[in-house]
Amino acid sequence: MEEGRVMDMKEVIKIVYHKEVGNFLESLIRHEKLGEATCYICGTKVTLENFMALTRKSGRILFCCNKIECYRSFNDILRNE
Amino acid sequence: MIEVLNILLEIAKLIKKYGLIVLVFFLFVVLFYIVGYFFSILLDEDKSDLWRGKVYKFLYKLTKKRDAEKKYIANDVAGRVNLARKQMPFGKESIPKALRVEWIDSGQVESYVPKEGELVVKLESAETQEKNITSLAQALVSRTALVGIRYIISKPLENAIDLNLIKKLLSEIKNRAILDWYMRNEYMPKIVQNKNLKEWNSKIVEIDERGLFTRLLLVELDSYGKKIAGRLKTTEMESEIENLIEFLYKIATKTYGVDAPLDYITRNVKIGVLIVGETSKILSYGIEPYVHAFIYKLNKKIEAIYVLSFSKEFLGEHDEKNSKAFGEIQTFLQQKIEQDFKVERDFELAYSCIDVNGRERKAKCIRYIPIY
Repeated sequence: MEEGRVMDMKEVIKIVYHKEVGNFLESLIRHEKLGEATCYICGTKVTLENFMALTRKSGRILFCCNKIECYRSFNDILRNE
Repeated sequence: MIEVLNILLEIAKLIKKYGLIVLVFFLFVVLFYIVGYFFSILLDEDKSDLWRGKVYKFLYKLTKKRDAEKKYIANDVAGRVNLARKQMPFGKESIPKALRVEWIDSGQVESYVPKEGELVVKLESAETQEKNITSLAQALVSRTALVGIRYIISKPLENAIDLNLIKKLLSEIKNRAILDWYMRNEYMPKIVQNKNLKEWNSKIVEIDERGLFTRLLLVELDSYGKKIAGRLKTTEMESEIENLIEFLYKIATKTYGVDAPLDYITRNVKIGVLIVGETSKILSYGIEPYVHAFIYKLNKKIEAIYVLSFSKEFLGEHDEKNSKAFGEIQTFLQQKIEQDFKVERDFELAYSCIDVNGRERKAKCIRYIPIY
């Protein structure tokens, strides 16, 4: 009960450790049968070095590179309205 | 420090006079306070996170183990951001929401598939913790603040509000390195990029310096979002919000003796402000002008009335001698409003702010909801 209450009140964000991003991205791209990952905002190819965030929206995995502007815009499109 | 030494000297004298029983009693009191302190930490999830973070940081520095590093990062981020959030002055509800961070376990990394709507963010090593905190604070504000009105307001205005809300959140962490990192790498580069953003930002900053950003503007925007929930965007709505900011900006930059509109009445916003700050006025005429102004706002069916009190003379020269009398009259006005009118005191927040001349002022913001 208490756990559920806390979960309702808090915004949960999953985090991935920078040294584990490689394995995470590779397996996810393979699982989702994506050719490559590109930034949803600027279209740049997302690599191990420039990956910043991702989410699933309407079933699709959306990636975001580490440009400050892209990360900001990426958060904008994800907000709960 | 001198006071502590004096207390210790007094205790030493007592021990000398009454023997070891005093020492035992003293140790018991100290132990009681220590246990109480740790108990209060255990009861507060955010404080516990912060302390767990400190322990794991120590373990990480000692062992350099990844597991300790990850636990340090997660506990430290959540503890700092959530404690800072609690320090931010709002009305009844805090904005943004509280944060919970969850690592994708090392063992699950190759099989983890994000769920619909779930955000996964990469965090860097513990050595760049300020960047980690900033990244998550930004995500939190973007996702949980200004809910319900983002589709109405222009991008530059939305960005200006977000940037200042993140700045406030990070400044409440009270760690210069984190705030400096944010100002240098995100806030300033963003502000200089866009002329409209720069203009909105300067207005938000002025409003914030008078203490009205979180206590009034965000409270009203939150209320606005609830009121228009589910409705299509109209140009009227966009103007209502922009003009609300202009209205508050005029109050925030009002100089002594210059009038500014104190009521803002549109289709979806009906607020009034009562500024109790001119020492000469309140000492000469008492509370009557303010009571009349309050009645005037009630007659206009205003939905929220803010009584803003500023110690000494707001936006002008102050008079130390009369400050006590001024404070008493402020209290009397508050009592009179609450006794004579059908109003609900929504919240009352005491704070310090900077006036247009750069002087620090003690202030109070009370939000009343009239019952018609």
